[in-house]
Amino acid sequence: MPKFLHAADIHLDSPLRGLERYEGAPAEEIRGATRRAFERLVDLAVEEEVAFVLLAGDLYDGDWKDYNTGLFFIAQMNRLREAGIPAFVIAGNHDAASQITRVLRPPDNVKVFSTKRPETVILEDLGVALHGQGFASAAVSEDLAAGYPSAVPHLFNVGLLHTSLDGREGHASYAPCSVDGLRARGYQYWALGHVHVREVVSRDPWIVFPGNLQGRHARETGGKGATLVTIDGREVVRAEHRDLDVFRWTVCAVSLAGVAGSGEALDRVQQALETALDAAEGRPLAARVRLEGACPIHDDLVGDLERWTAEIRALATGFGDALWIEKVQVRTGRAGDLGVLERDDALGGLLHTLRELEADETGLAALAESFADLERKLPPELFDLSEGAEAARPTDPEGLRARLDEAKDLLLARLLSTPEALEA
Amino acid sequence: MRLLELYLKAFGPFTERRLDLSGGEPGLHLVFGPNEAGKSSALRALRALLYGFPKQTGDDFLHAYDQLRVGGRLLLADGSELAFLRRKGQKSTLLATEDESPLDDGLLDRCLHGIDERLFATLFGIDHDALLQGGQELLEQKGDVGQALFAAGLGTRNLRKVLQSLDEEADALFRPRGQVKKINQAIAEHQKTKRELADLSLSGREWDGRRKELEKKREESAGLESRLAGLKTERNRLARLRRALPRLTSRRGWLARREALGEIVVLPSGFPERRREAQDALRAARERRDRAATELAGLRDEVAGLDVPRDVLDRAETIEALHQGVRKHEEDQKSRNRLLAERDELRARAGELLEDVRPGLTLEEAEALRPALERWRRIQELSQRRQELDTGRKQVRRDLQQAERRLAATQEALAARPEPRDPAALRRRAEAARKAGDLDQALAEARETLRREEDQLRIELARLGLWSGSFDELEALPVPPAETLERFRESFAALAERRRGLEDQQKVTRAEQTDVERDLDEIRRAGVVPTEDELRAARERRDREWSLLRRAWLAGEEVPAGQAGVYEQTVEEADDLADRLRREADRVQRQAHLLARSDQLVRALAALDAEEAAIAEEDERLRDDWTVLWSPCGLVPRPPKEMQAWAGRHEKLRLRAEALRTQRRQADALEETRREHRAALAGELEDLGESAPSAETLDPILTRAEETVRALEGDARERLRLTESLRDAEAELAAARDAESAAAADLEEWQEAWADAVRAFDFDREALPGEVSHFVGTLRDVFINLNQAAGLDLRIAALDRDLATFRTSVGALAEQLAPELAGQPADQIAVQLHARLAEARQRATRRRDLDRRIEKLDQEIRQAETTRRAMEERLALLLREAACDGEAGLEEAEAKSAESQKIAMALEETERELLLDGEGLTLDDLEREAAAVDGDLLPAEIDRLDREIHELEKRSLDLREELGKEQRELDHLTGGDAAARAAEREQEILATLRDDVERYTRLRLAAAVLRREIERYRAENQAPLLRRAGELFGTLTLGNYRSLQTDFDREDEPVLVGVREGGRKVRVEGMSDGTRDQLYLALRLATLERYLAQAEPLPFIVDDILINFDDDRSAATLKVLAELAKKTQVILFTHHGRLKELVKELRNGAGVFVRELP
Repeated sequence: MPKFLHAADIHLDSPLRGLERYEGAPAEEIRGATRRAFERLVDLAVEEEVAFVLLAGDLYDGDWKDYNTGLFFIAQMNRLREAGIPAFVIAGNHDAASQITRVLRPPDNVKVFSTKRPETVILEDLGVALHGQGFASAAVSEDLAAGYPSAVPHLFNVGLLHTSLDGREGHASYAPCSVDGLRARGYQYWALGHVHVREVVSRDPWIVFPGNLQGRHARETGGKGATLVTIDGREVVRAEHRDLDVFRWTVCAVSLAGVAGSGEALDRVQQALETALDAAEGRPLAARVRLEGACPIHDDLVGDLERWTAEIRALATGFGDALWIEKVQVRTGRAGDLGVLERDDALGGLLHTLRELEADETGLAALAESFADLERKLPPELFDLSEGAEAARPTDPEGLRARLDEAKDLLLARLLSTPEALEA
Repeated sequence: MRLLELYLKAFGPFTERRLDLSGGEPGLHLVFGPNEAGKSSALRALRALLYGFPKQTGDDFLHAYDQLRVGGRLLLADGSELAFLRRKGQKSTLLATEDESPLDDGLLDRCLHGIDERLFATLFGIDHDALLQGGQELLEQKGDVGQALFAAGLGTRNLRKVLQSLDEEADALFRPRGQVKKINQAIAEHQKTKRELADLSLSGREWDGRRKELEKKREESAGLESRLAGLKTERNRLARLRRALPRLTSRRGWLARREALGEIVVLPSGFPERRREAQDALRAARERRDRAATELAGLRDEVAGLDVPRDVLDRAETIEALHQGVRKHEEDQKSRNRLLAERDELRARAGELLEDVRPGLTLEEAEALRPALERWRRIQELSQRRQELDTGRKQVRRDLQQAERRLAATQEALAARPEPRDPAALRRRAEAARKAGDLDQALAEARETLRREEDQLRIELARLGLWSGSFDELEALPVPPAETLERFRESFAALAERRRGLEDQQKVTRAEQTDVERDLDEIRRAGVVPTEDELRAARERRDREWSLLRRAWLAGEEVPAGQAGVYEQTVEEADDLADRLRREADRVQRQAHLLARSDQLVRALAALDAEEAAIAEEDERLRDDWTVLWSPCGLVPRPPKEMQAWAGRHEKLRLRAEALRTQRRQADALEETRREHRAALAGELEDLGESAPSAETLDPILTRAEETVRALEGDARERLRLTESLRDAEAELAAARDAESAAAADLEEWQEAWADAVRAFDFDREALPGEVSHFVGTLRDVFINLNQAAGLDLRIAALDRDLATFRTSVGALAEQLAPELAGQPADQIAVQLHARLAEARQRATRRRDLDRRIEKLDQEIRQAETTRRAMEERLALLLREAACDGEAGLEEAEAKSAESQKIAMALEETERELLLDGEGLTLDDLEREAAAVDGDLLPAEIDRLDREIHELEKRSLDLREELGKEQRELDHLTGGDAAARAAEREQEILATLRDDVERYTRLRLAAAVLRREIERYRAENQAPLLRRAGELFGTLTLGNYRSLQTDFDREDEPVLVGVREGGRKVRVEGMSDGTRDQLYLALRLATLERYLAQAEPLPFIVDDILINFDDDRSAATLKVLAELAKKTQVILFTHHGRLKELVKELRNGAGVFVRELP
């Protein structure tokens, strides 16, 4: 029974974001992750002896200019060619914006669908008809699917489309269409791209987002890869996901509720990291460690977050070159109740002032203004609102409001960290 | 909340120790403990009580970890009390005080009001370190009011450090104009990486253009290469021809010369050398022979003219010996003259000496005195002896006078001593008293012990209870023996046991009875239960009716009306009962069983009641016996167990009373002993005429007695010493007198000996020793000189003999060898003979030399002749080989042969080169090709080709280089990931930057908020807090300061100042360390008071803050703390004993309590 591979959103040479370099971080392990994942896709195609490979858009990052990326793509397509496997490609929003696309001359086993009108390719020996149309510009707002031809009778019809469907969280709305609209074409399989989260939208007909090939930041967690589809005549026999990522992202929530001291806290973190590593099936892993729960070491954590981050990173190096601690987030709470301290004494006053400041627009704006010097110097990329960016502008009062809570914790931690007065 | 009691059940050094803190409202509690008393442990216990034990504790040295317990009683705000224990552990550490059952861990939450452990330590604890640091902090922030107030309000002592660290950490991250700050650096690095990324990126268009360019160049390069190959072939051909042309010409020349030479004998190589060798050797042999012959003739002539004197050589040894004797001969003559002069000098000196001491006496006459010189030593000895005698006599006289003086002095001293007295008896008494020990001290201690023990015993006797009386009565009290008491206790216990058993049994029985009754009642309530008896009765009734009817039926008896109905009824009844009995058999049986059991229980209860009465009776009897037992003691006894304890206490007291009696007897005995010793010592002192001191105690009189004994013993020792001295002086005087007479006798004897000794020299006995000695000494010198002169005469005679012998020997030799020398002095003759010997020896040597050379020359001539003949033969052979007639033709033949060989070699060489260069062409081909070109034009043509090739090659090389370079560049551009890597690096930098910016914002924000709050707090609290802190500060500094105010410094920032009496303001840095501590304390206390005004109070724990305060300031501080203690409980831990005194003075203020550890 013939098989084919469906992948999308390769984003070749798109860098991994948010990984702060530190001593002992597995820096070499993350090098060229998107390339290596793509190589594994080709490996899989050859290994499974698939009949063809579908790439449903976004081969490259739109603003990526280095033509070497295109050459790498050609080299991989040549490998498919040697194995006698054709590839069918549509341009996504990123590809439309990319300069690489315009110059690239792919080998003769690669068919790139037109961006002007829908095209159909018929593979006689397999009994398969492929329909597709690429993005001509970076922003396509009309329903491309509406223009696709009706199914070719007696063949297994596949539609390639780069779309946000009827809207997906965190993804710009492109080539909008509805499941019903797709169904109306009468195809057997819709190979979609654009949404980075794997999703089987429907099984009759099959409408599939394979997700992107390799996670690139802390919000693209879990396994990433392509969909391997087996067909028999006009039936889909099996559509299974294959993880192809070489580097995985995860969020490790660790509850510190009830820990007695820092040693125990680190033990818990270590356990959580071990579990996460097991789940990554031998891949190197970027973990965001989120510490939660009310605990007696809360003040220590917020008072000296840098040291804790360093300690947890040191802990991670104990796992060999397999673990990158992306970030340590402290979401723990103080063991006691602070409310009762809000009296008219010094500490109560401080807490009170902080709470007032949260609601004080002018006060916040004045504070924010003091960071103008810093903001002017910072590179604009830092606040790039594209995927993966998390930094807020320091002069943004809203961002500052969120920071106030951290400042409060920091102050309490430091002000109260006196040597024990009762100890004789 | 306040602490009523701290219960150190098992903690640190404590076991079951309770610290009462309940006094006061709520009160100042001073917990006083000297060092090592466990003060720190108590503090830790207090902390553990409220907040649990720390994970690690050192307080388990006495009690194991799991045994550690601290307890307490708290008084809560609502007036309720809370008592609990705390154990060490993770969970369920709160326990009930009574039975240690676990309590809810959150129990304390409502009394601690959310104040956690650290906050409690910060707000409600102050210790000495905190005070010092707080004071120091005040100084370092130079009295900045806001910070001072805020720091005190928070109870923190590191506010300034917190602010400073926030600023420093933020500064390390970023500064607007910084270069090395972390964020600034990251920004710069980011820009650099972006540039790198741009450089590394390759645009698609550029790549395509380059690829096409490369292709074009590659084609051009291939065209060039093929043209170059054609040019190079032609150039090679022409170059070959150019090389071959001169060689071809040369070959032709050689061939012509070989033709011209014709037929010749070719001589073997080496022939000319062999020929020249033979000719040279022949010539040399002839010359050598002639030279040797000439030399030989000359030598033979010389031999003929050489004369060798044999006779001289024969006597060579004799001549040598005499020649050696010449020097000795001369010396002998000189020695002889010198000796003669010495001898004459000695004789003349002897004469002079003799003339000096005895004029007129000749040397010959003096010889008569030579024998007398033997007495010389005797004279010397006697002179010496006379000197010794004179010295001895002088010494004897001095000794005599000294002995007489000493005797007189000793006699006088002895006469002056007092009469002796004997202290032996007194000493014995004193030693006896001393041996008895320090009786005064022992007696005083015994009496004191006795008194204390009596007091103690009296108190305990009073506490014994049940009985009172004197110690004697106590001892006499006829308390029954322990065994009896035990017997009674057992009896009572047995009885009680029996009663308990009985009561249990009664209880069980009654319970069962109740159960049985209830069950019965239940059965009855469910309907009457038929019994067998009832059935029997019914059947009887039926039978009776039946017999009536039967009789009527059979016997026709009259039946009362309705009788038949009665019978039926009875039948029915009986059947009914039988049916029910059958149907309700279980109930029936159960009821029957219950009824039987009920009867049994009634009987059992009766038996138990009887038993109870018996026990009561027995109890009565036992109690009577018990009372009777104790009646002799005159007391009403308590139960046996208590009385056993009482008897135990009584026994202990009795034993102590007995011991007391013994001690009293011992004290009396001591008193008697002391009295006896005093009397004895007084008697003895009186006997010796000394007075005795009249004190009650023994010590003064004993001391007096010992002093007297020491004085008397000293006296006796001095007298003994003087007597011995007198004896010694008398003996010395006698010895001196003996020595004087012995010296006189010695002088007499000496004079006799002297007269005898000097007689031989014609002196009389009166002659003085000096005079005689001089004469005899000079005479000795005369004889010594004469003796030396005689010795010299002997040596002169020996020399004369040697001189004569030498002359004789020389004369004899000269006569034989050189008569012409006769008449000359012998030594000259000997010298000349020696010269002649040397001459003769030279000639002999020359002759031997000549003979050897002549022999050698003969041999050489013979050898030269042999060589000459051999060479002549060899030359003849060579002539034959070259076919020459004479030696002159030989050289021409050689020259022709050489020419022929040279031509052959040159031809061979030329042809070989031609073939090599011809690259496969034959000589004929070459000749043909050469004929086809014009040799003169060749070089120009080749040059032209060379230039063209060179140019093309250069272009080809450049092209290839370009190609290679571009190919390499393009190769690098095939899919490399350098740009991607740069992009990854950029993201890493951005990530770092993101974190740092967050951190920076957080730090700056925290610092800004804190500063703002400090300022707000100051503005809001300054006035009331400063007023109150000022009052406290005034009290604490004993009025040195009147109040606290704010002033402004140069930057117009408010600063804290103390105001002195009279209005002078003192800045914080102008205060002493101690005053600053007090200022900090004042601020802390004022803040605490403010806190307490609106929140639930907790105990304020003060740990030894008064270490460095003097008494007055400590008192003032205590006063302030006592004042505070009206609002919240204050617990002050201290190890200062002095504080206790200060507290006593404060007591009129009340509410102050002192607890001592341990």
